[in-house]
Amino acid sequence: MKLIRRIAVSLVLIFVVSSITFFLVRLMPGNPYSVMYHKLVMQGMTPLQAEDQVKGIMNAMPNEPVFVQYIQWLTQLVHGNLGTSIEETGVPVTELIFNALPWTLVTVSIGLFVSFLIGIVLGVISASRRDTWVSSVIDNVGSIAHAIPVYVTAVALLYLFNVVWHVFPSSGAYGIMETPGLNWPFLASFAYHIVLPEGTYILAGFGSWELAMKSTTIMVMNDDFMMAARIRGLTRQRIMNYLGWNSILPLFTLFMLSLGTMFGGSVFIESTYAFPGIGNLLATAVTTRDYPVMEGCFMLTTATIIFANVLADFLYAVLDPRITM
Amino acid sequence: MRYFGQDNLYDMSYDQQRRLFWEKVAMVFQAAQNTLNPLLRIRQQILDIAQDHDIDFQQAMNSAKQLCEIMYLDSERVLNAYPHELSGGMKQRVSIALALLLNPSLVVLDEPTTALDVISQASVLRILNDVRKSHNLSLIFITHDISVISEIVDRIIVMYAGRIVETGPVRDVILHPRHPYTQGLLASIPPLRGNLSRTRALRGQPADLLHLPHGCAFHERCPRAFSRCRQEAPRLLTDDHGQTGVACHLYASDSGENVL
Repeated sequence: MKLIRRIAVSLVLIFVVSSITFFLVRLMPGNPYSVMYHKLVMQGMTPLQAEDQVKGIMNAMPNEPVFVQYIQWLTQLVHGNLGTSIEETGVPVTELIFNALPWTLVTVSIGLFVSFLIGIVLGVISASRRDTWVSSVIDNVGSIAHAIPVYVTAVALLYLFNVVWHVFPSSGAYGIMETPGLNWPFLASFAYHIVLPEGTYILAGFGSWELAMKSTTIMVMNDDFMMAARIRGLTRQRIMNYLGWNSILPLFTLFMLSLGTMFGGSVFIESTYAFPGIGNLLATAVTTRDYPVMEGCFMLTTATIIFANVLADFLYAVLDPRITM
Repeated sequence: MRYFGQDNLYDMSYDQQRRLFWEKVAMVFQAAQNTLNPLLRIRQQILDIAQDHDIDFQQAMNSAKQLCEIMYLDSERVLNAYPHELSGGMKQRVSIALALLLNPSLVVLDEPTTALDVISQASVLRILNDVRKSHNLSLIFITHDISVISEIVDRIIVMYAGRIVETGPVRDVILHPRHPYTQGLLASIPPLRGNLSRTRALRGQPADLLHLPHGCAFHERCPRAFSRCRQEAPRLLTDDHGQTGVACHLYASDSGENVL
């Protein structure tokens, strides 16, 4: 019952946020038509020719008030239709998103899981060697890696491993010769292409997990029940088990939330590596002021964050006996 | 540190140590509320102890149920509960029950009643007293409250600044305290009836363990200190059987000989 109410509230939230973004994207300077118009003028057309061309491609120069557009958008939305792209004229937004989503989903989840895992392990090591150089090296590397903006890390990796030392490809998700699907050549090519993007996700992500894990581990280590477990003569393995579960639990909510925010982080990483995912789709849509595509991407990000939140609440109640929904 | 003539605890490996812990020596902590793993049901925590000490699950559950009964706990409810679902007094009794699970011969109790209200305090003390007789075990009761333990213990060891200052059977120490610190402790207990103004506190502050005063650690607060107390730390002088003893210059001759 509570689940149904939470989902209903979430749907309302997604609707509200999407409506706000509907108006926000139209507040940005410029619009799809002027973007295309200026591009054509730059290519050497006369202003009149360019205007004709734009009218020809877009088939119309919409001049309805924003509010009427909003009503049209709502009517479409009720029918499950997110509209069609302006830039890639006529292609439905849902098609664009579903083509891009799998790439992002796979890379983001690999990146998140690996950086979480690395962070947890390093955090426990750093906590158990608290007063040694090991801990300060781990903590400093972690916080510096976390502090450097992702786009700097992405460009740095690209420069090092593609320009200086050409070992990894600079763009794309797979080799031009492969056909996407469950075949070995494609999977190998995919793995080869995602090394740098994943490296960026992991470098940018593991530091915060490491620091958070370190602090919760130290907190739990000092808890009375850890000393009691030792005095009870429990095996080392079981004591580590007690320590691990109690320290990871507080990170769980953070983990679920970052599932959603990683879509946001993917904008910089995917556009740097020209990776055909949601982030790249959104970045391109923003530069061409492709309103429907932008709205679709924002809606997806909003929905992921909100539903990850609901899921985190429910799973937390399952995992931690002290919490009930 | 040795346990009943066995090897030094500090020289043992982790596994040797953990065998001794809880099977021979168990402990009840001051803040028993926090000594249970918050994520596991009491039943699971009992099973964890049983498994790590190679005890049959069924046997462990049976003795746990018995112990719950002794502790006046509803075993069905308590064993299936998470720690946060129990009250402070219940958790304290659960942790005492856990301490007795493997039939240890020695239980160390570190102020087991301070976190409890007076009623629970009394019932926990009564239970401890019964259990000690029925299970034939020794208790080491660490507390600052002499009045609480005088009902339960056989012998009292009074410590000040980390050293033993007086030891003896409970009757002797309570009725005829010899060390000025013990006298002060007893005088500071408010009487149940009569004039409260007769209650006196020791003057001064507890000794700073980083800067212990020269000589007897207690001399700055001692109403009966004399010159020797400032120069020389007293040794613990015991009677022939080692049953009673006191570390105070008031009871020693100049040669340090036993004058008891």
